[in-house]
Amino acid sequence: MSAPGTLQFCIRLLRRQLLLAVRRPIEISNPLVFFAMVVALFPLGLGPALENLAGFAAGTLWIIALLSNLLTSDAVFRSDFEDGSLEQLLLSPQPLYLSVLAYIGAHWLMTGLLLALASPVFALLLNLPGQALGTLVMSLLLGTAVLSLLGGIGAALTVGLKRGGMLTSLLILPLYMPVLIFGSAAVQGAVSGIPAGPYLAILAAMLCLAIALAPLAIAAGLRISIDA
Amino acid sequence: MFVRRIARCIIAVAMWPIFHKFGSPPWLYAISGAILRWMLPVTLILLVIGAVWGLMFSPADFRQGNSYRIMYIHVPAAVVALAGYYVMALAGAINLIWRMKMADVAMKAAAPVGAAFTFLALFSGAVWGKPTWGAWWVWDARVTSMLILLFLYLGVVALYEAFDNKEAAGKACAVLSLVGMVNIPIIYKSVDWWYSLHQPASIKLTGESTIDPSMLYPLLLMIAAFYALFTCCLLLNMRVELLRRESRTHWVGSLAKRECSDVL
Amino acid sequence: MYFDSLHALLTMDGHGAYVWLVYLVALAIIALLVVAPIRRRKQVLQQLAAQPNHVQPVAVSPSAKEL
Repeated sequence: MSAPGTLQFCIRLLRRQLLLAVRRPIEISNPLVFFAMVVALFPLGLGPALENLAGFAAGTLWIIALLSNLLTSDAVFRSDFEDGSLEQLLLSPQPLYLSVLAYIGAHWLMTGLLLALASPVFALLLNLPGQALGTLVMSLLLGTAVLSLLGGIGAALTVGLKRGGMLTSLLILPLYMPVLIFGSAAVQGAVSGIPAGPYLAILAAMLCLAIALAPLAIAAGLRISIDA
Repeated sequence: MFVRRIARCIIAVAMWPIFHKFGSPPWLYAISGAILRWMLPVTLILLVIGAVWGLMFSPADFRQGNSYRIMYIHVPAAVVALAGYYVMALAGAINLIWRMKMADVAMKAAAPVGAAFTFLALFSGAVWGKPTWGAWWVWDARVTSMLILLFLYLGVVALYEAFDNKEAAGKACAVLSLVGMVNIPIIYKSVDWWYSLHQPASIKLTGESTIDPSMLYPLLLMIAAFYALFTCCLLLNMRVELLRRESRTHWVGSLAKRECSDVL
Repeated sequence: MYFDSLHALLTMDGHGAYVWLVYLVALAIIALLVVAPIRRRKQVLQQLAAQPNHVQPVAVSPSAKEL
């Protein structure tokens, strides 16, 4: 078989990641189930009054999305690191920048995209006003992609460590905060009738910056982890 | 790759003597000792002068009374905490690009010192908030930014401790602190914006009042003293780290025999 | 001096507790930052001086006595 081109290689990598995930559907559904369970925690903790829930809904939905992204991002590179295929990837002549992007893309498709698509259901559980649903989905689509990229940095730096999980959270939670601010502000704005376009534009700008820079950091992190 | 190669060439030609010296642990150890011998006492004297000036001689603020004297600790600590992060990230970048081990030593030394200054800024801010705003903790834009900065510092410290291989630890922390450096302006801007969106009208601290020279001079003195203090702490920590890393070399061995009683 | 008496300096019109608390904590942190590395450096040197044959090739040096 002849060596594939760069783009073709990345698409194959992406398809491989997705295939691996589809073969274990429970891994895909876990973030969604987590999302549903944490949504159920809020009425239990804050009381079931509908107007209270509606007031907090924008922020809570975004925080839950952030947490479920955080919990899954630790595992992006782990299995491939353990079976050695990551080392093979680093030795291959393909640019690591794009390969890393394929990994992150697969992670986003399996967590962020699904969460964003499922979020209107959870939003209705928390009594989020209907006019904000579109903004919620859009902000989650953009925001979770940024979160996946940032989470990849933490995952790459800690992939070689035995107890990476908690540490990954410590490293990347501070980086998540700007995304949370603008994501929840977009939804909150849509609830109170402010046009959400500017917020979404800022999220999109963050996404552009993250796509440009985060793979560099992830690639460097992976090289360090493999060398260690 | 190409950029890195060009940069290496420039360094090799133009700055080789300096870099060569900085790359030499015994030289760095000796020169830092010589610097500290006068810099540490001067720093401590400056701190005492600044504190006495701020506490006893500068006038009270017409709006906040005497509680504003906390400013002479709070502002310098915050300024140096932020600058310390950039020092740490810069040292990390030098380590990554030019594989300079001394930069790694500097980065490792800067992290706990910067975290301590950030904590001091947060603590003094909280205590200042009690008489001024009526609450120990107010989710003000700057307070929140400083809190996130503390998290960034703690992340670097935690990551360094998690690695067994200290060379990898240094590189990983360098990457992390560079990522943090890119993020700091974003975090500051977004927190600033977030605060102006949620800001309750009642806790505006001061108007656009210009600071009086009688308050400005002790403040500037304290900022200078805190910068010097940061440098001293950085050098002190670097020296310990140098000894640890070079503990099997000849110069450390003879040093241990010779000046076990020396203070600095 | 701005204050009339030592008592006025200590109380600072009711704000004294806050101001002095901050200055004391600052003093403690600065003292810790300066003293801790000086002490650690001394410990390292003393430990090295206590093991006479540590300046040997890496392969021979006893790893059990490492820092």
